[in-house]
Amino acid sequence: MEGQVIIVTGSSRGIGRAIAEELARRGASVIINYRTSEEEAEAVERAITDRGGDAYAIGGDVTDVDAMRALVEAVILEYGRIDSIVHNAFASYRFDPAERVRAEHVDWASYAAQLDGSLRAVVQLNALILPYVKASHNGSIVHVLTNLIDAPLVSYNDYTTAKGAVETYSRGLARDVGRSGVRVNNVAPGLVYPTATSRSTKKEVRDQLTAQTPLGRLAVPEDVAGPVAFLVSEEARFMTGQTIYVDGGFTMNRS
Amino acid sequence: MKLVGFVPPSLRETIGTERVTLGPDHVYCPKATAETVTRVIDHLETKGRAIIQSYRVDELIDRIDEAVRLLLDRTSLVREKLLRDLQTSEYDREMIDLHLTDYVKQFRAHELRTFLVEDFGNPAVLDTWQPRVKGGLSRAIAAPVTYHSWSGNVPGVSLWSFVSQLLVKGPIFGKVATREPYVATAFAYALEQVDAHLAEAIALFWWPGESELQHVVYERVPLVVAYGHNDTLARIEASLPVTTRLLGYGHKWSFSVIGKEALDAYEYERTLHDVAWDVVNFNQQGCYSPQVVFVERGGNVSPREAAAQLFHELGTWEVKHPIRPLALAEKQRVQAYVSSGRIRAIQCEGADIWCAPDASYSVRFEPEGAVEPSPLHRHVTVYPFDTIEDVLAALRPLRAYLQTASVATSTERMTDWATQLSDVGVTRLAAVGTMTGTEAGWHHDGRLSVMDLIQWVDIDERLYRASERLVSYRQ
Repeated sequence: MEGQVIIVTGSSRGIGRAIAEELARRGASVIINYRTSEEEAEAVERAITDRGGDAYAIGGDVTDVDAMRALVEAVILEYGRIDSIVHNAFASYRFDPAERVRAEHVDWASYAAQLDGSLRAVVQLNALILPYVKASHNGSIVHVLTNLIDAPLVSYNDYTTAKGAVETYSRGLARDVGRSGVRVNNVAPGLVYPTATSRSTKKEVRDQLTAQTPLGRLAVPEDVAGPVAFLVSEEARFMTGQTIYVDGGFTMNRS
Repeated sequence: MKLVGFVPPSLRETIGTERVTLGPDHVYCPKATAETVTRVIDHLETKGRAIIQSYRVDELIDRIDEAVRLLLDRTSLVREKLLRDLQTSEYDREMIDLHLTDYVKQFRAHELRTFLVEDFGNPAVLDTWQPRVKGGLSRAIAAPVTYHSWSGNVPGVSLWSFVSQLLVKGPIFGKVATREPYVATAFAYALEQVDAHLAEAIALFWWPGESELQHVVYERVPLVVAYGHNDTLARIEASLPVTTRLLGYGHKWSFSVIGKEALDAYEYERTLHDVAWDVVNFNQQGCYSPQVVFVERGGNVSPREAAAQLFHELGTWEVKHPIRPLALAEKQRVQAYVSSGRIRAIQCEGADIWCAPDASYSVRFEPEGAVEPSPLHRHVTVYPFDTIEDVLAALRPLRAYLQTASVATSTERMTDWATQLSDVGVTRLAAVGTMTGTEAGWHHDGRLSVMDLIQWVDIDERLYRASERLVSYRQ
């Protein structure tokens, strides 16, 4: 990925950070996007550059189209190109099995907020960068989803519905931009622990998940970085419209 | 051919059997007349007593354990026959099979030692004089013969008092329950298989509730252990000579209290699944089965939603343990309860009822109105509450009947509620899903199990000292 410019939204910590660091390790110049965690984002930038890589921290709320326009302009100004993007940021959510709202009681406002935070953010940002990604030799778009869209062990229906919408959207998009050389794929991790959002998930639930996971543990952020990097890389040049499940075998099905 | 009852082996040749009808079954049981009953009691009081007293308690425990293992062993003929005999009961085969194992496990050697130590501290008092902390010596003796009158239809309830009686080395004359005479019978035969000698201390008869033969027994025994409805017990008590003691286990009432912590979005499924099991097991026939469920307001799941979900859970359990058609009297009680629920649902804002199409199970929701008993057979009412005081107020009039309360809440609130519930008469606090599985050494209706069957005899410390002065080797 030498010389490629890749945006990773929401990469100041957790999964996003692990993805950014992996892409940088492979030679890409990574844009560390963050919403409020400026210090952490700059720490990631420093960590990458200290290792000889290239990174640039740029703030901006993915749901804010103006902020995203400014981000894209800043990247073009600095690098003159955008090759790929990894959509990792999503509207904040707390995965708490005990305090969650059960599916039948989730109101439209909640669904709307998640659709806004996940689907709309993705739609807007993809629209802004697609011209540049099309110009790239191996441009690709990757959305980080969740394995809950296939197997909701616990139902967080507003969150999961929005992520499911992103998957469907990604396939329609893959169909149309394929002829322009742009690939669109998804990675669906299982519960990744510990991260800011998964901290509310009690040990008992994590143990239940682990018990049903063939590889006998829950994902750590680094587990997700590899498959994302693969999808972004040349190696996946003939794959598009795919969702790779990274959950230790918890889900096994046709994607 | 179904055999019910048991005659001490040495009397079998001279006491025949007679054919009787017990519910749907034709069975053979020991010929019950004043003459045979008297002869059996004579035998138990003398030969039977001498034999059973010649065993040490730990030897008895081993014999009982061996007999119990015959009932636990899925390949044994004893168990196979028992399960066949129980086929005509209202419970499905799988429920009986599971229950029998779970229940009978409580009578293995380790468990028996536990309830003896629980009650006696030093069970050797059953064997011989044991020193007391206060000085002097004491011994625990069972009555020469004790009469146990069993009732109800939950399989195996009779085993509690049957085994307790043997443990205190007292011969037993039992009257088996009309609706479930098989477990006691099977246990007696299993014990005979293990040790025919010991079987001389056991007799099991059957006669209909109104029979005059019970009076023959009352005149002869100093202790009667009886299970049954309160009016039955009242009648028995009235018939007993003043020198005969009655240990009665009457009609009891149990219930569940579900705290809001048990109804968060994660816990509620398991909680309601377990409450449903308590209702389903033995079709609520046990004294420890819940008749009503109190559900706290303020959880992620409201009391009304909990009631609806509980109804669904009963349906799920019904697939696994189908309920048999009820007898007419029971069906009528259920119908009255369901009709009452339907009227309430129309009259009262907030009241509701969910009922299976054939009325084989139902859940009523009563936001107001006094607590009413259930007709049993998987029909239960949910009452919402705000504070535990609401529950206590509803229960106070029922003090004489209260037994088990299952409680689902945090440890701190559980112990607080337990204190308050015990003040209104509850004698056992259980986890949801376990109400119908009592633990070894359980204080049935708040009383010590084995202790009630014995009398203490004390040798004064001063007698001991006085005798010491008269020993042949006195210095």
